[in-house]
Amino acid sequence: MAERRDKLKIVYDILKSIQDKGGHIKPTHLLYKSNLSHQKMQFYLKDLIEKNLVEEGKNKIKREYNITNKGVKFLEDYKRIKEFTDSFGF
Amino acid sequence: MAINDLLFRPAWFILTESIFGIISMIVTFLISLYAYKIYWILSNKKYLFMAVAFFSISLGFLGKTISDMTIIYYDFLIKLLPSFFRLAYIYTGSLLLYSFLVLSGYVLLACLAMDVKKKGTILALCLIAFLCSILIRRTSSFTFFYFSSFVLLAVYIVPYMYENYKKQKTRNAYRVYLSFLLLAIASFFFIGITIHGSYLLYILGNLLNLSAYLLLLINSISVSGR
Repeated sequence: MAERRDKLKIVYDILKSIQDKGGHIKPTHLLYKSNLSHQKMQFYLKDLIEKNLVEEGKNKIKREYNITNKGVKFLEDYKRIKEFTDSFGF
Repeated sequence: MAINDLLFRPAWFILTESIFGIISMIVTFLISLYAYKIYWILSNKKYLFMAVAFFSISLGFLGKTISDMTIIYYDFLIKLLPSFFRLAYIYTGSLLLYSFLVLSGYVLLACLAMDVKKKGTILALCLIAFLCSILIRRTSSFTFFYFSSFVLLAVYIVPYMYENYKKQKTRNAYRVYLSFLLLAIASFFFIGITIHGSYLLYILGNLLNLSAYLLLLINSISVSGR
């Protein structure tokens, strides 16, 4: 059975999916890549936009999400954050 | 020394102890900042609790440093302040704040380890921490503080950290487990002072405390400083 992803891993997967697509991604692609339900994906995206890790694209014809500089920094910091959280186990 | 020291320690050790306190304050503050950064990213309340716990311990060490400074710089401070009583109040108040904040920090960490979510339970335990601090003033003894710290560390926090180490099997998890184990042993040594009044136990306890916080610092640097 696959191990349940924690929130840290889900956030990482969403941001990594956007970065792998050149920094911007369509919602349908993100839904597929992040392996989340539509409702869950919207929940996480709203949170990431509020935290300025992701921003909505300004293109009015096709909706897309872009990774911000803060989001890129998070991906760089991910390993450290994971090690820190694992070391305390909370 | 004009202030009646509530701690059973040799006068020559106070300056060294205050340096230990400053190091511990900085380490716990850094951990608190990092935990808050993770809370900001993940919105996971566990990391907010962790940040508050370490910030509380850090503030506690600030109180301890202030109380130590009132003794070390007594002659200088007494000229600045209008009366002796005010300096004595600062000493006692900051020492009581130290015990309350450090115990509250351990309470929060124990609640995280036990996965306690009820705010009422956490509040009740913090009130017990407050009671232990009040008892220091009433009994002029730190026994309740040392005993409560030992129970929280040895019964709840250390076993949790050991289980986490067994699960993670990483050097970092081992360092965190070892640091809390050292803190528990230090508390045990401090309890020993009340039975066997020995300065050596107090100094050993403080050295163990310093080692524990240095281990936490090494862990923080190894995971966040690269």
